[in-house]
Amino acid sequence: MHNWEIAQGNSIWLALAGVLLVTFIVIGLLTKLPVTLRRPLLSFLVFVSGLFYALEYFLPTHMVLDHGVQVPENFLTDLIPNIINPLAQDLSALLFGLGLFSLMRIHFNNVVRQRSGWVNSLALLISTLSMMVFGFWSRANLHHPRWVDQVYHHLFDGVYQNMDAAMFSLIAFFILSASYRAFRIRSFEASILMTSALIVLLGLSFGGVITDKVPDYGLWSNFRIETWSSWILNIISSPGLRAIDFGVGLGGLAMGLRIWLGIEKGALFGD
Amino acid sequence: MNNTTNNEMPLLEKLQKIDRRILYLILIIVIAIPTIWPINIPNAPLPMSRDLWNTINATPPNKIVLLSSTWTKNTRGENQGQMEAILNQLMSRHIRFAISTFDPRGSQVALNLVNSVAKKYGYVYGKNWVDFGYQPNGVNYVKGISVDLIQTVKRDAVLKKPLQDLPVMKGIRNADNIQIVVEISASSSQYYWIQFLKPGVKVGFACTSVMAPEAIPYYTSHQLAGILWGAKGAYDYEQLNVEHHTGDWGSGRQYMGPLSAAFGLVILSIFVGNLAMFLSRKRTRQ
Repeated sequence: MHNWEIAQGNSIWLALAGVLLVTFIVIGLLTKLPVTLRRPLLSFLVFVSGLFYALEYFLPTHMVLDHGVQVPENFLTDLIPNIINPLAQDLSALLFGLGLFSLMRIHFNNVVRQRSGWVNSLALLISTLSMMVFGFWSRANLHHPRWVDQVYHHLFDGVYQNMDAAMFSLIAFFILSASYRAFRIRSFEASILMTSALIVLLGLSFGGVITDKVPDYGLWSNFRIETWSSWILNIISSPGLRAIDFGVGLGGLAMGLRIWLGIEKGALFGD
Repeated sequence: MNNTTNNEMPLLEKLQKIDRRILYLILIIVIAIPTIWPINIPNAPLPMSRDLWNTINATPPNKIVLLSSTWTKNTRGENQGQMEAILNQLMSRHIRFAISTFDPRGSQVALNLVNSVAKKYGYVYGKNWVDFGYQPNGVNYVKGISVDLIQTVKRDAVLKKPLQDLPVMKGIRNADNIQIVVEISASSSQYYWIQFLKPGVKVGFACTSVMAPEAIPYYTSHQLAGILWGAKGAYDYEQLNVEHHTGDWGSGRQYMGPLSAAFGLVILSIFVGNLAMFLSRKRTRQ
């Protein structure tokens, strides 16, 4: 098993330090900019970023032989895997770090000033730090004691994963309670909704038991619960969802254009 | 008549105001019984499950299958069975595959599952399968592998080796060499593939039950090659595997009994809740 240092060499740490330094300098310079200049600068950057994707998509392509495979490309296409993707990965990593720093700072202050609920903040800090320490120690360094792996395994698989599953499972109890108390047939529309829900629910669970003796071929198959369920989903529900998707898509397009062109009020610095 | 109505009143009121803790207790019992004493529910695989199975089964030797495993243990009841069934099919048919994830937690979960199934089939990392790791930027990742997979991913996530040095990647350069991308997810991450993957490359979606209805329009328009619908999808896939000797029963069939029992209880609770309301209204009118 190779480790990160062996695979990438020690120069990776220098590169990381360099990237961090440049990032801090850029952020420092941005914060020194007058507020009146920040908005036009960000609008310009957003426009250029969006323009790249628009041009890459709309400009004509020609076929290029790439490692024996004919690929349609224009002069921007190659920039995606070579420049845009690494840049976007770096930005995402930086945003993760920024989010983590912000979270830790808020909860650290809660603990230091003993604000209401500071015990929860302490639990968050301990959980985050222990997962980070043992995660990095276990994953990034080949030469570590065996117990480090065991602790990481217990934290991630033993504690976190099971708590995650337990929290999600609680939904079942609320669904049952809500279906008993809230799902009431008070109108014709509600009765249609409930009948449809019942058929789909049966089709996806034990409906097969009810119509198990009905042949699943020819005309007879129309009398099986699964067929009714599929019919509701494919013929009734699907066009409705498609109509909603069209509406959402058009709204998204309009919003995207407004943000891209910098005319959306409140998109940048809330003005 | 009046006497009967008067006798119904306490029961109706009790039913209307039943303590939720009693409902919770009933649910625990109803789920526990088929979990301890498993029951087999008769099943007919959905066409969308069958289509996904057929597409993966038709993978030629010069192509790989990409599994995008964007799920964690909170949806293991549905996604784990789906992924396990797909892995059984891939490994029993000796199909090369890669995994990646859009969720930082999904990487470890997927690795644990693949490693456990790989032991059964003697699948070797780097030779038969590879991990592309966590991909934080979905849009650029999908657009990147459409053009140049090797340059986009660069190194695998386990050995940290250049991708082109791994035997599993022999002859694989871009999305044209991918038979199908299967997004196994608890969210709507299939849109990355539908919107940004190179046209012509097939996409499948293995999702939780709540996510499936909004994916159906893309299946009927053939933008999705197939869908696995929650636990039912996992059961369908296992059944297809068993029928074609490409895998065995797993958690899909195991969970179908408790799930069906829970669905039955939900249907019963809706019926009882409405019955109590109707009878109560009737009594009020009288």
